[in-house]
Amino acid sequence: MNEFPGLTPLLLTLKLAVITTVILLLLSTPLAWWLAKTKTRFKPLIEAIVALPIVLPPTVMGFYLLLLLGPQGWLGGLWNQLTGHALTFTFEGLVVASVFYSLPFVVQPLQSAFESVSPRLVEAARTLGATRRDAFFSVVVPLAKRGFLTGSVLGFAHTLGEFGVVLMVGGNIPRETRVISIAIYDQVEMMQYGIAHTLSAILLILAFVLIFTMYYVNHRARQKS
Amino acid sequence: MSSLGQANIKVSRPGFKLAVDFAIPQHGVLGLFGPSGCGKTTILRVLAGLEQQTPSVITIGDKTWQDGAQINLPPEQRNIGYVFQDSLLFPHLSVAKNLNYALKRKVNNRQVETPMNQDEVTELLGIEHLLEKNPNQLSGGEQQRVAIARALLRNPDLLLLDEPLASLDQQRKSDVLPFLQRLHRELSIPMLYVSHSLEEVMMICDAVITLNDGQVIYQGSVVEAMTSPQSPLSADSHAATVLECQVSNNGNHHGLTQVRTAQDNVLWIKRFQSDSQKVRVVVPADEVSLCLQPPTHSTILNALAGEVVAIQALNQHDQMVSVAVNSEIFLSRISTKSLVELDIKTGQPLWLQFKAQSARNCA
Repeated sequence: MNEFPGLTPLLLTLKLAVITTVILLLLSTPLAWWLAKTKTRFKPLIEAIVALPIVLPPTVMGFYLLLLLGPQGWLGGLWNQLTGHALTFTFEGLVVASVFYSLPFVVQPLQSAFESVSPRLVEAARTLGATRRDAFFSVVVPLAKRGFLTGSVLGFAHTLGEFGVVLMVGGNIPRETRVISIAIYDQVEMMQYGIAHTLSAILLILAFVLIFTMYYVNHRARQKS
Repeated sequence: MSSLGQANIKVSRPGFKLAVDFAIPQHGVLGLFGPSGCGKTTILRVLAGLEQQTPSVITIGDKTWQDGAQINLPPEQRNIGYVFQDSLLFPHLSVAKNLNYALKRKVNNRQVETPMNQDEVTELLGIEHLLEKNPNQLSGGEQQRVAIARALLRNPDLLLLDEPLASLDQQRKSDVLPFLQRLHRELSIPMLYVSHSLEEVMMICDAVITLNDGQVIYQGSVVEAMTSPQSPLSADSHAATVLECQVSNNGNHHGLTQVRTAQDNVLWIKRFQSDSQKVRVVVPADEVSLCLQPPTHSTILNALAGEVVAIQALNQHDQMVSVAVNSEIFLSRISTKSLVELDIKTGQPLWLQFKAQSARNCA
């Protein structure tokens, strides 16, 4: 029996989005906390760099990532020394590119959630015996949980729909870099509208359910508080 | 009084300089009193380790919390309880979980006393019925009582209270004040109480440090601070005589209680609603009138013979007269008109009077 030709890209896309979101949460939490608290005059510069992927055409972003991740690029070169192959046109390379590409969608909601937690509540926690780290996990994180939800959903959903960057960095290698948006493009190129329809509908529904859940949960939380 | 520790606190910021050095008593409540901006809250924040490194030196017991150079313990290593003006309960936790937050992180190194358990603390502050609620469902007074309970459950060596009543209206204040007095009466933990309300200082504190512009201007027991002519509090518009008394007769005397002051002056006050034999009586200076003749046939129950020891002009129209009765000073605020017409002078013998109803009391 023939496998549905969209299944492999779909699973690959979900895998990419899950891994990217997990890495993004790990990276963005300290970065967003630092941005929320820092008094350095370089803050606007860092914020601008983080926000760049929102406005940059994906092809431009993809072009620079191609250079960075390729065997001559410093990240690609390093990876090459460690593993024997470059990052371009691999799944790992897609993950790295997606992390850069979706970074602002996770950092920004987290930063604004952290900024809205009163530093005086952290002081209260400290006077009750909490270390800095303890106060962060027991007070800041629970109070910023809407930021974590928004950041995860936006980061995940944004990675799902990635096209331009993937095309530049990952190409179109089945089971390795052919994600759902590339597969749809392929099918349309081949005039296979049926599969393109199915895949597009899946992506549309998935994106809607994710975003709707996020808005609904945030709406409920706002009403409660 | 033996001291728990010594605080030599120095803070200097643009436009603000604070330099105070004081002993923290082992027992009782030490008030830090002064106008807004005089540095009271900053003192508590430095003690708690919440301010950036300052050249302050703080030693508590045999421990140095901060030496102005290398040592600067973070807040969690200083055994303090801190009650903030706006309670700062954690909004994502129920009352019970707020209390549990402190309990989980409590100080365990005090050998002398067994820490209070949660039941004792919630009973002491009357919050047993609030445990399942969320902080935003509580009134301001209830929130503040929970915040005090939370600070106590930390089992601190020193309790810091930063204007705990200031953000409450009059009604809510009276929800909390009796509980603060109860802490004072029933717990041995020393407290620092920051306030800009003289009334609170008189009702709660044993000793007081008066601050202005980052400097100590007077330091002493509340009884002395209120009446000593050297103390700025004796010339405050809310000045009052504070007397530590013993209940001598709390029988059914038409709703009145008879008390005896430290110098054996006998006073009638409003019925004292407590089992305690010790009572603090506060007689506002405005309520005390002076009389050159022994008052007779008067409805005013308290009449004492004394001698004028000091007269201070408060402003053009008001005078503060200090009268010694058996070497105990009473304050009387009178008009300049009365002073002139009765020709009241220092050294003059006279009688002072005040109604039993006008004296406030607290345990």
